[in-house]
Amino acid sequence: MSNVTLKGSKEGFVVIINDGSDFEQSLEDLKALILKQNIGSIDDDVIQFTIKTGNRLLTAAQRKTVKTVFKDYPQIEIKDIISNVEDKDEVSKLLKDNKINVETGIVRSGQKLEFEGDVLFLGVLHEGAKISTTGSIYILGQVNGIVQAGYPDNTNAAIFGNLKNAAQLRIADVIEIVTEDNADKLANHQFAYIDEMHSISVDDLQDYKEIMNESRKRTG
Amino acid sequence: MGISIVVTSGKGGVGKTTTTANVSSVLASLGKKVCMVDLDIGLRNLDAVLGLTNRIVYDIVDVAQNRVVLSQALVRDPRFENNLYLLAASQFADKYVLDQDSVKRIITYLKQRFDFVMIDCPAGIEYGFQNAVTVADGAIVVTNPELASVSDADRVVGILESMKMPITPHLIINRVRKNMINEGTSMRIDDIVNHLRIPLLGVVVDEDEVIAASNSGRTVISDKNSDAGHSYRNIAHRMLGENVSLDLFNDTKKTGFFSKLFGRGK
Repeated sequence: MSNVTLKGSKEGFVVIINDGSDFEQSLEDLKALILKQNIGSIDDDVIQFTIKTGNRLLTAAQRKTVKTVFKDYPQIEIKDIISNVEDKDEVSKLLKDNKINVETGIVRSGQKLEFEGDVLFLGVLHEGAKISTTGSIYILGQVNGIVQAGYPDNTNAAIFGNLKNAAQLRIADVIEIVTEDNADKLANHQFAYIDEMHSISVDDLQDYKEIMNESRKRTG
Repeated sequence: MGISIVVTSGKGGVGKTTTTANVSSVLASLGKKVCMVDLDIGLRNLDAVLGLTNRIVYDIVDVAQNRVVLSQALVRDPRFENNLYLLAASQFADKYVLDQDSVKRIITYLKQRFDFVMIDCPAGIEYGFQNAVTVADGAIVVTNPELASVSDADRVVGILESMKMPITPHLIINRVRKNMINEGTSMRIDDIVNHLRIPLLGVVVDEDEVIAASNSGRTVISDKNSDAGHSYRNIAHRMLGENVSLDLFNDTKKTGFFSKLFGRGK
């Protein structure tokens, strides 16, 4: 199998760098492959290539080197560099961020539970206690303490469930103090989120998808 | 420049927090600017007695560790316009996170902004107590009319007197039960005063309403039917240097050091 293969697909041109080959040799072959192509004048449309590296994960330096090869040819550019494998730390972070933690116990005054990812809370959060996570919190239990979602700066996080007895709702850096004035709107079938004014709003669960899509458009 | 007063006891459970909340509320209602500081790190409850728990975002530990400035951590009690504020204790830290220097810095700053800085001291005579009493200009020692409580108060008075505070320690006898005194089964007020030998600031009767009020996050000071509320109002007036007769024994409280600072003529 050659070190570098050029393929055409529905998505456009794909350059496959054989993951068993020597990387330096593959780069030489890539340059030769580009030279072989009948690249038109500078006025032609730019052709985009996707680089696939199979089971080899390029280091930042190697990615830079590949991009440098293409820089000499303004008529072609790299669309993306894709590998079949992921860095272990990246995967572990991704898993943590997307994990749903289930908590069922009693969190007593002065205790603080901290999680990464989303939390399904089935327990009892006493007054003076705090539950905090990087993602969203789904409350099916009873909360009288502080509920913090999206810690420290995830403004796309939300808090779901009956929150009218909570002391405070916190999402990212925004704090909503629960008082007699606003407790009624925090009943079941509601969720709290950060609105376009960067303050905490409460809405019906049925509008969740629409509201969060808008929010993600804003925050990227 | 205001004064800082630590409310302390020696024995736990005698009513320091209730005393701090009620006396501070009366002072605020009389137009004084008051800041209550809860130094009971890890076991805060002054906020609960005042119904301010939900409003706490930052606490004294956040200030001491420079995460926020002091004004950000002060919680205003909306019932007293701009006269009553609370600096809450941390519920998540342990008592050793505060050192004397940071407490002193905070209290000194508060004294510049408030007439009274009322410090709710943790029970006992260890670390938290030392932090609280070393920064105070004066002390209110709270005791119940029972032997163990008076004995612990005596220990605390000894420590306070050795510290040579600008204002001599004053005494509040809390949870006094008239029927027990009449039956002779409780310690007598004058016996306690004669034993401790510090000026008596007031006597507060034991009353269900005090517990009911603190359970619902309010004080008894505005309850005209509450004897305890009446006592707290008298205590605050005495702190401002006024002559107010002592309810239970119909004698007259001599004005003390407080009158020299806040008195309206002697």
